[in-house]
Amino acid sequence: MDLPEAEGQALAEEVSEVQQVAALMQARITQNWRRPPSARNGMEVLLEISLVPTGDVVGISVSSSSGSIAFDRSAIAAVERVAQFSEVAVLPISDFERYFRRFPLRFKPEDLRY
Amino acid sequence: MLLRSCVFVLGLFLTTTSSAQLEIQVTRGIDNPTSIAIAPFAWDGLGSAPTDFAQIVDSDLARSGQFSPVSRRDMLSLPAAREEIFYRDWRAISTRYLVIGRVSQGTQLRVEFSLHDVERGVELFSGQVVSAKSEARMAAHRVADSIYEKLTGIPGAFATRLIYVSVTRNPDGKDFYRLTVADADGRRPIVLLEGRDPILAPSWSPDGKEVAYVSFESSRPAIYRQVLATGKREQLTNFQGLNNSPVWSPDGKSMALVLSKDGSPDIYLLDLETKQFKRLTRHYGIDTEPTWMPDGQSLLFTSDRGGRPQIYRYELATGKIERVTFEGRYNARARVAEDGRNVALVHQRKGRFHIAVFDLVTERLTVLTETSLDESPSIAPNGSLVIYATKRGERSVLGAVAVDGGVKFSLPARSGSVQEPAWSPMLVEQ
Repeated sequence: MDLPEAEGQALAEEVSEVQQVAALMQARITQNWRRPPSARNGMEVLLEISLVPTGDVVGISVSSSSGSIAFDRSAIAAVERVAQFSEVAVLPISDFERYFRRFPLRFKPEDLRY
Repeated sequence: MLLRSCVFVLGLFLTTTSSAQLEIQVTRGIDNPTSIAIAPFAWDGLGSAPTDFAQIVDSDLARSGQFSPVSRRDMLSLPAAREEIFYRDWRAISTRYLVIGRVSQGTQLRVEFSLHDVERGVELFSGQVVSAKSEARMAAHRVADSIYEKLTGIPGAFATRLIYVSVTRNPDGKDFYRLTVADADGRRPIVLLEGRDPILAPSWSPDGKEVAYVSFESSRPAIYRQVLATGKREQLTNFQGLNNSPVWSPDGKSMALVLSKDGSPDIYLLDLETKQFKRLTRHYGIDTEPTWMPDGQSLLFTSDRGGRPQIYRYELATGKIERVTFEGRYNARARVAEDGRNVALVHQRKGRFHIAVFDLVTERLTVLTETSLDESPSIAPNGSLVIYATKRGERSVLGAVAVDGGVKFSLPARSGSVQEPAWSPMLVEQ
């Protein structure tokens, strides 16, 4: 399906700025995620995060548990430690609403020893 | 709308759901050691406590590299019972977990302990260890094993022992050898055998009740087995040439060892019941340093059949031999952990010898030590720690390194050199 050129260009820019913001958010969460000693590669928890336009975290809930309380809690703690994703504040409000007002956040380690 | 009907994949870490939501994926993190507080255990017996139980648990967990125990000085209170715990005291010092305990004494020692999640303010687990009064330190190690397993999912290996050879120089300038067994933390050393003749290559029976070793006390090196409790010995070999590297099979029925009686050093199997020897390897190169896989189906060994020392696997049922290590020009002296997965070995990099761990599942080799003359690694039965001999000046001392966490420490040194450590298997409660 072909995009009219102007719309395609706007789409590409929108995607790229959102992608950059998401990359920053991912990096910050990574730096704040302390895994419990019982964490293993392949464990997975899916959180739902709610933000306000300043980037403050106003809601964290577990959509899908890993089965390990310690693991789930480590993910929640990582988001709590970040507390504010100030990088979303630069986005146009429409992008914020579409992508970051409420978004899924999946923790699935690949770098653990086991 | 176009956006809703197309699926965008934005980099590796973002995926969109069908309603154009972005999902952020986090696949890495930072792992600091977990902070844990072990409050001093109460002592309900007469006189003073036989040992500082909490301190032993503290030291064990710290040495694993995965825990960062809180200093006693920083504790705001010292609870020994559930009702004495004020979680806010522990949140105030940012500890994740708390262990409390109480020790009583009748005909035996009874150590009751419990593990608490400070953030949630709940008890996670409680247990008790019963032991003979003389085994107070081992009882504390068993508490540490229990806590470690609860928090990591890996069985603890603190209530284990080490055997090693200690060499001192006599006033007459001659070396004196002592085959010594000690707790895994280096404490309570007991001499099993001593003399002027070299003792080498000690190893453990699978039940932890016997050791095997090479002794030069007769005219040539021979392999012996010895019961720890009674000192009773039996000579197992008496061949010309090398008699070396005895290692018990996991079922305790046979022993792999190295003999050079038929030419170059090769691996042989001794049936401990029939006393029959079976030759396993037949290469003109050097095949040595066997170690068993925990299922008893195969052995790893060092061979230079490919030109330089590497680790190979010998499958007992078929006699098939295949190479295991491919990274680097020199890999030798493998020791397989009871987990069947982690193998400690000596790896040479840029002319220096390091202790490394090879993961048989991921086939990843991780160098653990940076000092240049490290040898004789032995790995804890749970694969978590490696002990080895390292040069300190003229002497050889025992170093230990955590397989993750990078914690390094050395064992209390006596005078003289300490070499060839062997870690016991997991021990049955005594």
